[in-house]
Amino acid sequence: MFKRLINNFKKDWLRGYRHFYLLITIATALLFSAFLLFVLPDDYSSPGLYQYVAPEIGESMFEGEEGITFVDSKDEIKEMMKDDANSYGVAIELIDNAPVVTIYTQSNAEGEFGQTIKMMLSRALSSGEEIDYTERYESVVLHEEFKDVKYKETFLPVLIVMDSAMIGMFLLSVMLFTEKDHKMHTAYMVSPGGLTEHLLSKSMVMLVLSLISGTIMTLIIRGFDANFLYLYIILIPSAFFGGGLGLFLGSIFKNVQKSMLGLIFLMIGLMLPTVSYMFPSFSPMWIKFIPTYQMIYGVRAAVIPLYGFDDVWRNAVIVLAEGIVLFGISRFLYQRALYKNS
Amino acid sequence: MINVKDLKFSYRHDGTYQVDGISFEVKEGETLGFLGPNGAGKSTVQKILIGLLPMQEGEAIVDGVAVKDYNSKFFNKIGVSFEFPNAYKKLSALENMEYYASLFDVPTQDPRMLLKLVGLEDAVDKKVGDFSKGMLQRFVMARSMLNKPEVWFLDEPLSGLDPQTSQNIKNVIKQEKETGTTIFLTTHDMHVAEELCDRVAFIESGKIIVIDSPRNLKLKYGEKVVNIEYKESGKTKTEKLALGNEKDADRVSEILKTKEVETVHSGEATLEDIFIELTGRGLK
Repeated sequence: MFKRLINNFKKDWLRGYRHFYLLITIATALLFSAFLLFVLPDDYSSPGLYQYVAPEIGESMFEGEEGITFVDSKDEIKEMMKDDANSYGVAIELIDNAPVVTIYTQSNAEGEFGQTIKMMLSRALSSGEEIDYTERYESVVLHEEFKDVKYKETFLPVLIVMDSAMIGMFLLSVMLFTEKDHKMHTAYMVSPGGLTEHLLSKSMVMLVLSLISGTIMTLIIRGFDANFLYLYIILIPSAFFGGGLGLFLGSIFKNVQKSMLGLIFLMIGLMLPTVSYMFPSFSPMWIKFIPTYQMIYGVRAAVIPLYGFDDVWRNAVIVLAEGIVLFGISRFLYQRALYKNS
Repeated sequence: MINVKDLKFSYRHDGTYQVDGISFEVKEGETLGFLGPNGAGKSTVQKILIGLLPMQEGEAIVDGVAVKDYNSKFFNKIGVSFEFPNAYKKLSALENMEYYASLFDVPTQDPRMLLKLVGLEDAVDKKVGDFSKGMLQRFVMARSMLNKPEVWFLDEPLSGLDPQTSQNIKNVIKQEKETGTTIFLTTHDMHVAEELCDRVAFIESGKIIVIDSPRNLKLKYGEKVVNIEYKESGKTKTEKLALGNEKDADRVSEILKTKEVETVHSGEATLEDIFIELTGRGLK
């Protein structure tokens, strides 16, 4: 089986190469990199604000303010900010019958935003009276290291995942549709070759393309600040999952045209975790079940090592398990479709 | 080598059968041709025998293995030349052949030798996507011989080929036959069936109408005929008359005595004539 798998891989790689898959992958990686380098600014997004107000004080003072996420404790502020490099936190407690304010920042630079917060709080807490609360403020820097991460760089994991999962899905389904169109599967079915290696080899092609693409983008945007070993650990299952989606589409649709609607819906669904990633305050439980959620956070941990590598291992295992299940389902559907199309 | 009993198959699962209770046997080294028009069920039977369609009803055994028990090893023993010339268009003929050869667990024949055998020696490095239909047809035939199959399935092997290439391919099939390969062949071309097959089965609407050697079919169902051209009132007329028929024999005698005969050709019924006689329709 291994020999056949390698021979299938060689054949699929050659086919992919002659269909310009490698060129498409490199061009897309360069295009995405150029987008990050020249289109996205270094710092752009409006920061998130997490706020804890002790129950004795009440939350009414900030009611109606947009972009504020209320949390239940100071610890929760720290937890939320752990995943959101561009954010601030404010905790207001009542100590000795006087409000004590803690401002959490991701770096030393409180900047304009910190001053604005202080001003807003002074007004709110004094109920219109100008009282100096300067001494009752405390500033806590949570992640000093985040100051080195540019906004555009936080976008990199999204594009890497898009490339590995989405383009892999698209190219692999096209590969299957071409085979169906040329009825190559019939010749394969009357050979001793097994279906698993036939499909797995295509996933392997997508895997290699995905590693090439991820390496190019990471090198251009993050240089050697990224951890490439961890990047590959998360990219391999991600690409395998993306390939599984391509197999799935190739199994249930007859040709590219008929698969377009399914492809678009899948892409929209898979991109939903991006919203949660860019705006961490939006993270409903269901979104965490979408595999690209695990992929994005796993890739982020690899390309921006400040976040720690725990996500890489955990997410790689989760995505790999999902990929194996998807591959099994797709294989079953593909086999069924083969009989129908023979 | 091939044993089929009461084989039935329905694409629509609605009680109508595209293969309707077919039974036949192919002995080792024998060439059996399925002769019938398009849509008669020839290719469906072949697809069931090579495992491309699932077994629904009946029994089929190929080289001692029941069709429903096929495993990957079984495919080391058979070769299939498809009517639809399927190949990787972006790969060269040689790359396609080498890839396909790598799938087998048994020793395979030299791809270059096989390509030469079917007259594609000059197209070894040419991309299959640039092949003409005839070249593709020859290519899939060469590919089907890679594992030196014990049972060789040929689906319309000469379809769309020019006369010269057809003759070459027929010679290749005859050579294989001489080495003892069992051949199952589908065609709607009576000349192919007659020249290559030990026995032919007439198939129509999913049923075998008759199965026998071409010679026996002709003896049993065909009549010797004469085609007579003669002049009458300044016009040339032609009549085809059966010698075994008393009325026709009298008519031959009458024409010879009373008309100005221009040509007389004796002949025998073709397989197509017999097919028409038995099924009421032609082979096209």
